[in-house]
Amino acid sequence: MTDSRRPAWLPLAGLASLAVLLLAIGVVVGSVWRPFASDDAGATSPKTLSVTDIGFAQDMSMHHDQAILMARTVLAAPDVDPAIRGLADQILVAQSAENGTMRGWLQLFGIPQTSETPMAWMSQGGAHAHDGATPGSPRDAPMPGLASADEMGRLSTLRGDEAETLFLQLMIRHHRAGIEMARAAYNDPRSGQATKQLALSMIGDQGNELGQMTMALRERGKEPLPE
Amino acid sequence: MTPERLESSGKTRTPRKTRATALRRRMHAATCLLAGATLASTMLVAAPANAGNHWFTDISETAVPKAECGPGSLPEPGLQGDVSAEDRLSGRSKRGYHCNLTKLGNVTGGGGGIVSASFEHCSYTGSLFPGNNFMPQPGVGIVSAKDPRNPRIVGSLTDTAMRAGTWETLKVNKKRKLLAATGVPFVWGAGFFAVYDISDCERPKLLNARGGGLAHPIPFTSHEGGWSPDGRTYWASGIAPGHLSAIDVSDPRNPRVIWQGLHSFLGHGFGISPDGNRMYLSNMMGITILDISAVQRRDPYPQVRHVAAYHWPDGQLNQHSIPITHGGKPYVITADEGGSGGVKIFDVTRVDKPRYAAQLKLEINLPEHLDTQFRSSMGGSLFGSNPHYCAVDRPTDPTALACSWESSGIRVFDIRDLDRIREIAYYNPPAQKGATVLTRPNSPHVVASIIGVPAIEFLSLGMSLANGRAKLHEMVGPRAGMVVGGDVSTDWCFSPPEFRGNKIFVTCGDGGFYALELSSRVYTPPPDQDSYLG
Repeated sequence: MTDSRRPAWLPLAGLASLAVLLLAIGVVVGSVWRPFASDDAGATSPKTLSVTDIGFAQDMSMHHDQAILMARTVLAAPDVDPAIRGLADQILVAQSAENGTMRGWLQLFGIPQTSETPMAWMSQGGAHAHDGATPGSPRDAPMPGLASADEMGRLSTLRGDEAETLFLQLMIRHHRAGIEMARAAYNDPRSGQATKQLALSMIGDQGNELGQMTMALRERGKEPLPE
Repeated sequence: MTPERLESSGKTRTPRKTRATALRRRMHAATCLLAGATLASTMLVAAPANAGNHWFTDISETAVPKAECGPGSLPEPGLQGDVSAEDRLSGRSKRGYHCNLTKLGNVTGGGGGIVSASFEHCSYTGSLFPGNNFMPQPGVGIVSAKDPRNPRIVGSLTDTAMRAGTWETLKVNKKRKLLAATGVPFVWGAGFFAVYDISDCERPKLLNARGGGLAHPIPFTSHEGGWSPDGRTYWASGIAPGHLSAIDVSDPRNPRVIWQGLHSFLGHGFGISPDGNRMYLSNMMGITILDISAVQRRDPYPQVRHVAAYHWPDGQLNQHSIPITHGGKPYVITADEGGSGGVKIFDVTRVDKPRYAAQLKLEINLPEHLDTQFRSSMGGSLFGSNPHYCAVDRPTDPTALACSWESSGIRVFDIRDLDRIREIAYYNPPAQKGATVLTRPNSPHVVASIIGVPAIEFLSLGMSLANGRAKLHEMVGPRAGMVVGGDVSTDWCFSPPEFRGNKIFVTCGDGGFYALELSSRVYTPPPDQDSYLG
């Protein structure tokens, strides 16, 4: 089954052009790659990040990592209600995109993706300090709302109704803390405009999801977990 | 072989975007994907530096001294590591090349997959999707090399993950005698995980009846994977986004993800320190060092901290790392699968003040010979001559390092003195020229040979051309027209060559499993030999 109308040399010519293109790209990238000279530093760093911008991006992206894992866990569980799957999918997509944004900021400014002192920006911020801000030992959660490794592990073993209920309980607790962190960032005078915008959109999105999840949990006749 | 330490930090680079034009065919798409991955890695990880980021800008122009071949050898006639265009055309490469390392036995089956694993006298052949499902014994093949002169395929492992293609995830934990892999159909996979008890290495038993199969996949993605040294955690990583997942296998009947995070835009293989607390994770243009002690300790709320990152332009697509101790100091040995950066060794006594201790390149990897490498590799498909997976003969004061070097076969180095590393032996298997997907459905090389261009190499080649080290006219050889349709005129060796006394067990993509023997002239196994790949 060959296409008789297409000359035989066409795919070859296409691939040959591709090879030339690859090589050209290699040459271009190779030649711009070389300069590591110190004089190219600084030309494109128009702004700096404040301690809140950095702390929020580091901590919130780590916090999001767990929400993403939670969503993926329930998506992988068998016999889960499509409504819950839809919600998990929505959280997965939104928080992955937000994580890309926050980690992009850190990457751009050459700042580590993780913090040495999680939540320090919030406890120094004054108004919204949280009890869990300075973890005393590895037994404590470094930030509020996190599920423990045991809770995450248990979620991954459940199916159907049980998986839905535990997912809702864990995610409600997680979202409440996430909204608290976003609110603290929004209200912190040290936050830059981009941080404020992102925090505001998180408060909106997660607030809506929190409402949906609380209703879904109530429909199942279950209570949220204590904070 | 001991490059000057030319580290600099605090540089800001502007990422640049180059977009390939839209391509119509699947073949084009596959090439494009690879090119894109390389480019993306260049752009995305070319991050500005700060205290935790270290740049090593040296492009090494030194090769390790060549092995002196003893009687009975069939040496490479030209550059170290090269299989010339002429040898490929004339059929000479079908006889292979060897020096102080000879074949005892071989079993090919349907081809050797990408990365295979071994334990005691058994080897487990990585599976390639979908090809492995068309073999008489689908899934991961079990090879018994009890008689190394007559290795045999004695069965296969057929859980979902094993038939879905194991890419670079098939790994053994010796301590707990476990074999595990994730399902990776093409470059990236999700959800399927299988772990086997290999106490009886010829008859592995599936342990995770519950999570990781079709009925209940578990939430992770992977391209690559490997064990923590204690065998309680299986880490799944890569490729894009750079997701890393910790699968708790304390109870192998019920594997579960206990931590997951994103630590760079791209990820690949890794190596973990013997205490299980530190991970050297590929970020494709170097390595990112992570503190994974909270997961290792099973803290109730584990977090993984980013400690430092090392980046270099000399070699791309960092593959995996082997943390070792040498003279009482910790080092990491790390290999790049593309761009001819060879193998690098860093002194990581102070992980945030790394010292570039040594680099191993073959002559074919030198910038001035990248034109020759291109000339030779044309018609050989995506990969040229680069290290992929390596193993040392023991984790403390290793005496030898053996690497699969793609088209250059298996290379063995004396690394007792890091200032005087030299090659002692090599075995480049006979090319399986003319093999087809019908005869080698499990060979990545045969499948990829729809493409003829060694596309993985183009970034370093471009740098060498721009620097005037490589010459355009020397890139053109008698195989220059083989843009499409490779002829499998060398093997592709990707798996770790594992030490078994004076023998080496290894698997190559086309030729399958090989039991090889090192000449006693060049190698004496240390009494506490313990083959180790990080």
